[in-house]
Amino acid sequence: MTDPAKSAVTLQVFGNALHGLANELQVSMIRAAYSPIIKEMFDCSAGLISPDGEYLALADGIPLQLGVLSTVARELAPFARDLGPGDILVTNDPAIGSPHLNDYLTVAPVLVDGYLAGYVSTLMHHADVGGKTPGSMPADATELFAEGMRCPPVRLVRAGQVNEELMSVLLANSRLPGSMRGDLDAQIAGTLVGVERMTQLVRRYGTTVFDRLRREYLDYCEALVRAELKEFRPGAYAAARTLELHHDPGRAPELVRVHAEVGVGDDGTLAIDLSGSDPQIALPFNVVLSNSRSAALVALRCFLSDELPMNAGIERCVRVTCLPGRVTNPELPAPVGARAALAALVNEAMVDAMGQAHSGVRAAGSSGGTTMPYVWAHTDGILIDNSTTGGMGATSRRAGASVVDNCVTNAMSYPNEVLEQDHPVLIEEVRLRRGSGGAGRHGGGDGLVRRVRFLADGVLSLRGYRTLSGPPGADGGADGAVSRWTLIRDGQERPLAPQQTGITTLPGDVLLIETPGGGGFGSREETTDEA
Amino acid sequence: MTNSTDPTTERRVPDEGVPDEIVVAADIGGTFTDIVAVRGRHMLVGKFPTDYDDLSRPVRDGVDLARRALGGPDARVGTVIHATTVATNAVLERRGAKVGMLITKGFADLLEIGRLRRADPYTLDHRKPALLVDADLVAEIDERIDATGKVVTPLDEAQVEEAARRMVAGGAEAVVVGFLHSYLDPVHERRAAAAVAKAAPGLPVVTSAEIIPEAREYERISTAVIAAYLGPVVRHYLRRLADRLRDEPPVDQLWVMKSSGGLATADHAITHPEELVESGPAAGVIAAAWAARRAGVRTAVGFDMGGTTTKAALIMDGTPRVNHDYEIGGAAHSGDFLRKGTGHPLRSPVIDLAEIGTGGGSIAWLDATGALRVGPRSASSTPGPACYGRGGGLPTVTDADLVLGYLDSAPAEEAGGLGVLRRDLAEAALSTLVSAGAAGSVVHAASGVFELAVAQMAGAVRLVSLAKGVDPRELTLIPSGGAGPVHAWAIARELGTSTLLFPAFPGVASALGLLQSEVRVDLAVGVRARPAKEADRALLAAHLDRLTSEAAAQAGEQAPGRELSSLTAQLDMRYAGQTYTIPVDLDGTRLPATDDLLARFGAAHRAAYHHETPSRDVEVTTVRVTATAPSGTVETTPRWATVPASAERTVIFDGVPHQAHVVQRADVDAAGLTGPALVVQVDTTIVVPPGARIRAVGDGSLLEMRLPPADGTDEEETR
Repeated sequence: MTDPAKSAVTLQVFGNALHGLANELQVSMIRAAYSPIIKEMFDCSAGLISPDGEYLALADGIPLQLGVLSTVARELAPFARDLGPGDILVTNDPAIGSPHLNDYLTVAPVLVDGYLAGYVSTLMHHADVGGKTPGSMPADATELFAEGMRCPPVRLVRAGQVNEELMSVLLANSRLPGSMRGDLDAQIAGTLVGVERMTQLVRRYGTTVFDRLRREYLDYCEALVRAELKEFRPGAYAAARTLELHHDPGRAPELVRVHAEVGVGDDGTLAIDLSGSDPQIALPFNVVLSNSRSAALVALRCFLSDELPMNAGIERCVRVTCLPGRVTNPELPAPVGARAALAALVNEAMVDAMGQAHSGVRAAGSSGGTTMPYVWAHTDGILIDNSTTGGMGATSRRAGASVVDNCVTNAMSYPNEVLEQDHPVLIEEVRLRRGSGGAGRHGGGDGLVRRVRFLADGVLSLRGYRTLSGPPGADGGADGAVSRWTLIRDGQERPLAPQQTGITTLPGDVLLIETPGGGGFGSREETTDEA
Repeated sequence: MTNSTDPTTERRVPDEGVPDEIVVAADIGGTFTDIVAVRGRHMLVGKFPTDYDDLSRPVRDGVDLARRALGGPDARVGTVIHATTVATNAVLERRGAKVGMLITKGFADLLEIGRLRRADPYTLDHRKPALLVDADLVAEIDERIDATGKVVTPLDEAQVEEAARRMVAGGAEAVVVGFLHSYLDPVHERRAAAAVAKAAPGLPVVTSAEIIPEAREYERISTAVIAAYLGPVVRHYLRRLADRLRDEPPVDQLWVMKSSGGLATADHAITHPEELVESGPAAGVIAAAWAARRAGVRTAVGFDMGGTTTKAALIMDGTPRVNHDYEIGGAAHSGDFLRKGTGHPLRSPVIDLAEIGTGGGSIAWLDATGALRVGPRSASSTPGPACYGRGGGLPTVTDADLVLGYLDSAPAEEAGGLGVLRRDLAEAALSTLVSAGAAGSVVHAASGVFELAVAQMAGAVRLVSLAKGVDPRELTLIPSGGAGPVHAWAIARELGTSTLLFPAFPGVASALGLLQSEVRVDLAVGVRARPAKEADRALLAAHLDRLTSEAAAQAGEQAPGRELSSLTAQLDMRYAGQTYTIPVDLDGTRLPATDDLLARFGAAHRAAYHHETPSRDVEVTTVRVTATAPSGTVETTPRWATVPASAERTVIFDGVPHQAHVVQRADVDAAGLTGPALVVQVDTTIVVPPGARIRAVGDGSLLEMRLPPADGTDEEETR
């Protein structure tokens, strides 16, 4: 019988090797990529997947892409069966699980002397895949076809050779073919590196041992997760969050509700159902199920310890379901391009529900910290500014941080000096929006005031949220302040709808953005925070 | 206090005809102040307990000892080279100055807002780092310069004076002036500084553009705040040290190691305290780089294993990489650029280091399934590993090393100078893992702890190399730190690399590196220039000329009477519209012809990202010039003192006991020997596994170890 210490070492070393490999794959992809969204914001993911479609390891990537790769791998299994060595399937099809058309996935088999050891999979956000507006995420899309070209699973690489005919079709449908080619090359190169390195790993162990270790490792991780899930009280919990969609100030906003029901079993399992969410809408805020699942898993991840490996150990204990035709599981061709805000809403409903069940921490409602970019097209270019986010919700443990992205999007801001170099604007004010965080025993984080003066003619489009109800507080904590979007011309203030598009601006116009604060926690009488 | 019978100190009687001057290197660490002194071909190594009441005292003691031990009648200590943790500790322990800040109107909250991204997205309790400026001492000033350098709003100097008086009343000990676009034209910052000087004479003022004249206001102003915050602490410390070194007989020259791996005079360091944050670790990397150059190794990783963390640095062609996007006061980062955002940005040059939370003090524990794990929690130096006998009862990596026979229970540095390592205590601590069912025996537990620690450290080295596109199997591992040479063989095996290189004194590598360093001046200026435009070319050429003469002058000032050893320039370049830049090296500091420059950029872009786009406009965002001058250190052939040890020791490799020869470092020659063996020296033990060859290379100051080819997998045994 093997010594338990030896077995523990063997499994840890095996797990480290898998995670190291996934990270290596991710790093080599970022190194090789072209566009700023990959190089500066790391908008890509990489993972190793078992022959059964389970995650063996996932690189430390974008949270919102957390559950996507394994969903896709499972969906692709029928297509992947006749893949040979050096073949790579690509797809951006939301029907398969791609979050939106910008996200191209790769899947490649790892075949070692005829033995299928698993798959290497990557996901990368491509800057433009066609559609009605640059960037392929029109806020007023009513169906998927406005968001760009849809690519079902196809073999872009065969025996290590790129199918240039197919490549030319993909590139012909992008406004930025050069950058898309660079990024696709990086993604392909990264995938092939991953296949090669995983092949080496399998050879090092031998197929028999590898096969046994990968099962033992996932069983071990599952046991770790189950042990932690025991910290949740068994029972049924539910929470809902609502967001207004409002792109015409002359019309009433539309409310969209996301509902999460969580069943905590006494055996360390969770059943999450999102079927109580609203029916899908003819606006691009629908979230495909793989992505709703990611948002739910991110919420769960926040309650688990940092050391837990990111793999199917978590997924085995958690089932996420949703009836079709909901905003959280739309039937295509529903538009899905701008899904981040609703995915964040799923995350927040889940955090709320999980908080009810957890003995340690209860989050306050919500963070105002969804990235709320505005896009300003002027004569010399297009400014996409995602430096606008809100405050975090407070928790039972501490006050919320001010001006920081939520768990789901986690983007980085544009330095003001660089922004002014690149575009004809003057940033006049960037300030904490003091008092915007919901009051409470622990206060919500403050939002942001951002004042941008346009120095040229242009057209402005917004993607803001929470102008009607602020991020809710919890346990008696107050809601965070609502956001406000205002255009100031010659001293006259004109309120804008948060998702208004096509606003004509004149030189000297000022856009005033006030983002929401986070929800507070606990009743305010017991305020204990220093700030 | 070390006395003349200290067993860790070696001294030599000088031969005839050696130079009079002694150079002393002093690296102050958490437990020990390491001293390495040279005179001509003679070298002395010593360790003194760090004195927290007066950090400068062990340095002076080292100087006096060096003079006594190495000196003839006319010998004197001419130069002291110093690595210090005083800057880092001031930030970690928040002992810096009370800093006020004057900032462009509308931007008072700049530092708190930061860049929005979170290092750890999976937490509900995210915290931003506590600010180094005093929130009550931030004043907005009416002024504005735009992105072309044009004044949009003139500076209100009266407002500055009033704010300065308020800050003095509020107890400010230093003031930062941070205005937008000051890197293009520092006129407002300079006038504001003058106004502060008028209203508050004697109050230290730091302007952002004088520290880092580059775009990106958050990072630039954060760097200036760090400089202001550290200023008084560093000034006080270095002045005190300099005073002590002026005691009879006085030392002529004091140099301090900067994070960039170069030296500066104490006077310069006082004006740029932000450049000292990784002083000690940088010196360790310099020692590894020096070893790599000596041995002609192209690709290496310097690997420094300490008590709580392990640091790794990639060394290409004998040169460590220097970065400009460091963070201070945050979490240890594992070479993982995805995890930025836990500390305060610092844009001055810092040797590229990755750090992970595994070290000799890392504690072994059992997870929820009862499986064995190691770290990141550490027993640190107090109470320390169980075997230190200072009350730490938890099993650590060092305890495992002792039980496996890699360490001797004889007096050793790892014991904190407090006597012997207690094997009985190590066994007792590890036996708790056995009784919990996580291991079948104490030896199994020790092997498990050792292997887990090794796997984690190997992971860090792997990421450091892969992040720069280097295959870890092709690199040479250069271990340092007292525990580095103990674990290096196993880490190398885990990485699949076969070659290791050991510096002369791996256990005091930072002090050694100080002697191998040069004076270094890095200057930079932010621009926005398209080299294809004639006017912009003229601007770039003018910047290069000015920075070149300034850098040369500063280096000459700090290394008086010495010729410069290098004068080089680098341009940070990008395609217009890109947000990231690539450093492009020039030949010397001359601006090449436009075609040549664009070709260099294209090649660098291709090397980094596998493609280029010749048709796109190219921009320069930063001009950098670096000047170096030799510190005058002579190369020397060290000798190693004999360490008391038995001739053989039982050592456990992969669970199997072996009788290992114990060999004195001085006895390893070019013919070498084959493991199992232990090479002992005052500062560390080099573990040589069965079948590995170790031999002296070059002039004998380095050891090279080659591992036997892998013979299948040890995992097979578990079948």
